[in-house]
Amino acid sequence: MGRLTAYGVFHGNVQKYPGRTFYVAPSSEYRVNGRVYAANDNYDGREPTKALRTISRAWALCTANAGDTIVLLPGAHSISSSIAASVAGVSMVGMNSGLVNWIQPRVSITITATDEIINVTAADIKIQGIKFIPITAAKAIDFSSAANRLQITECSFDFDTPAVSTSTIGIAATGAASNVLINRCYWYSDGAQGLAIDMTATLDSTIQNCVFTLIAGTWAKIIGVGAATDRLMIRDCDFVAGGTSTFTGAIEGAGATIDSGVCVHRCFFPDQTGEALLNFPAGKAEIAECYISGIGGGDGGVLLTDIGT
Amino acid sequence: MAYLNRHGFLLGVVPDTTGRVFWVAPSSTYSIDGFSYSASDGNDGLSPERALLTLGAASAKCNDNCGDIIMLLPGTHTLTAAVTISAAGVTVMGMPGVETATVRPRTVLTGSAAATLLSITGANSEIAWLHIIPVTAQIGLDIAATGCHIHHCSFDLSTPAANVSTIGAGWGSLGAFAYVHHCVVFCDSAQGPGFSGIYGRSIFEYCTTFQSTGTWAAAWNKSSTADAGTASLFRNNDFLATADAVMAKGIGGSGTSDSQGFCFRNFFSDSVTVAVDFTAAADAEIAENYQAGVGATDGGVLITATT
Repeated sequence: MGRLTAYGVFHGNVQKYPGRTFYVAPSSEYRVNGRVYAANDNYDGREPTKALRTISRAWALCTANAGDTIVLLPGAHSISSSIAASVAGVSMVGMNSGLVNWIQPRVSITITATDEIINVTAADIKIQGIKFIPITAAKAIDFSSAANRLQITECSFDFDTPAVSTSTIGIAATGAASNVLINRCYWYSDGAQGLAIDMTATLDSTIQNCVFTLIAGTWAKIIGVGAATDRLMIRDCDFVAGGTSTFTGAIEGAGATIDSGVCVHRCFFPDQTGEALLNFPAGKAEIAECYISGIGGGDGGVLLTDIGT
Repeated sequence: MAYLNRHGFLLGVVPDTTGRVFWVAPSSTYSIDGFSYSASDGNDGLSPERALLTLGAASAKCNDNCGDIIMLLPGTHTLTAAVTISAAGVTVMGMPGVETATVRPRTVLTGSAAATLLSITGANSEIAWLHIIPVTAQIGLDIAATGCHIHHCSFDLSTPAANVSTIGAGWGSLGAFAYVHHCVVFCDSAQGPGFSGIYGRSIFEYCTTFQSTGTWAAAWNKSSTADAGTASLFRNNDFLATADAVMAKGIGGSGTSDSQGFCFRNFFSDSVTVAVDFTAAADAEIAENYQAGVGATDGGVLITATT
């Protein structure tokens, strides 16, 4: 629960849930209220001044469906192996000490092993206010069929730092999770990386208010819609490609199998997009009020009326 | 850290943080809860009753990336020299009270010397809930770091004497990934841009620019070059200029990169001469931007040019 300190602050009030809050420091020494403390996985992690050292230890201490929150203290967290997000109902939140700058949160996670940063295998997990820097040819976050109601919000994904590889992926479904929400997230890339989001097989899910930015090279596919993806809403997202960079296809649907399985509303795409929606079999996607921008004006932006097949 | 007063309120709606909150008073004598206190840079600044006198003293106490906040108490803070915010991850903010939106915050930041107000060199800084009045021919916020987050601020370009070197917020080198939202720019004469030198991969959204009179060359100007200057997104902003005013450019661009500015869903008054005006047509991409119609003769016209 939120916690009153001697200073009157409500530590851990971030989520306003009745569970416990576990603090994780980004380094063995860190500062709270101006003083230097040592983080240690032998602590209970319940106060910022007794923070845990590793994110995995915090997950191990959480109780399922009790409203527990893991707060990552500001700074760069580096992990050596994938985090098993296997406890239902846990929120993992970056402490940004203000409104989150969701294009560059003050809390980041990198991984040294060639593996995903987080593997979500339980329901009702929320991830907020964190910058993910995946390692080359791995995913930042993947989630299984058990990850129903997963929320990922106000996070950014650094695709500049990994070497160019189409196996570098931001968020990827590995099963038929439902009610997934990806909200106000930001991707930035300088080359031919893999999918920002792979929503294959997901059900009743939403991607909204996200921005995808490319400044160099060719990024082939940004959002993937695959077999059995059904009732996926993609809305109010903007795609931008600066300089001479290009998207081959912003939303890729070669594997789509469900009629009208995805709806794309109010999304804007750059002129340098081969196809805004690419490789969708006939009847698998619906679009409304989506626009392709005009380079140098000319047309002021053109209403998208073509679902590339 | 946030502060609970004897009435049980968290003063200033301080964000959740594990950093320190350094309180800064606008004058040597100030009032808290009806009592008068003296501000001094000899104080520790860690409670409203022991406020520091200068923003510079507060900045010097901040550490990198640990959530430190500089809280400016209500009133007018007049800087006598430029203050550098060099620690990474520091928030400088006025007290929002219970407000969730504003066009003119109650905490004012201005200067008495011919100098920049804040020079921001620490990455991931946050500037919020301030009414910023630059000195004539100077820059309000001079930003030379990545990830600067500016929100709920207003920039007053009406108070300074007209000078094209007066700028609200300007980005120099290393200024990528700026995020600016819910800000307001006011102008009544031939000033420099409200936002200038905008770097690449930044987002400007939900901002409003008002011009009451005079001729203003460019409300905003993106001037970065090469790849670092590409792919900034300007979306959902409004530019208002009265019939007595001439806003020559709404969103201008003087750089040389192709597709450096993406303008989506911005709206401009009829008095804006060229809504989106970049050096070369290919420097900008536009979609669903509109210029309003006076007297509603046309209901607004889709903008189709970028020069």
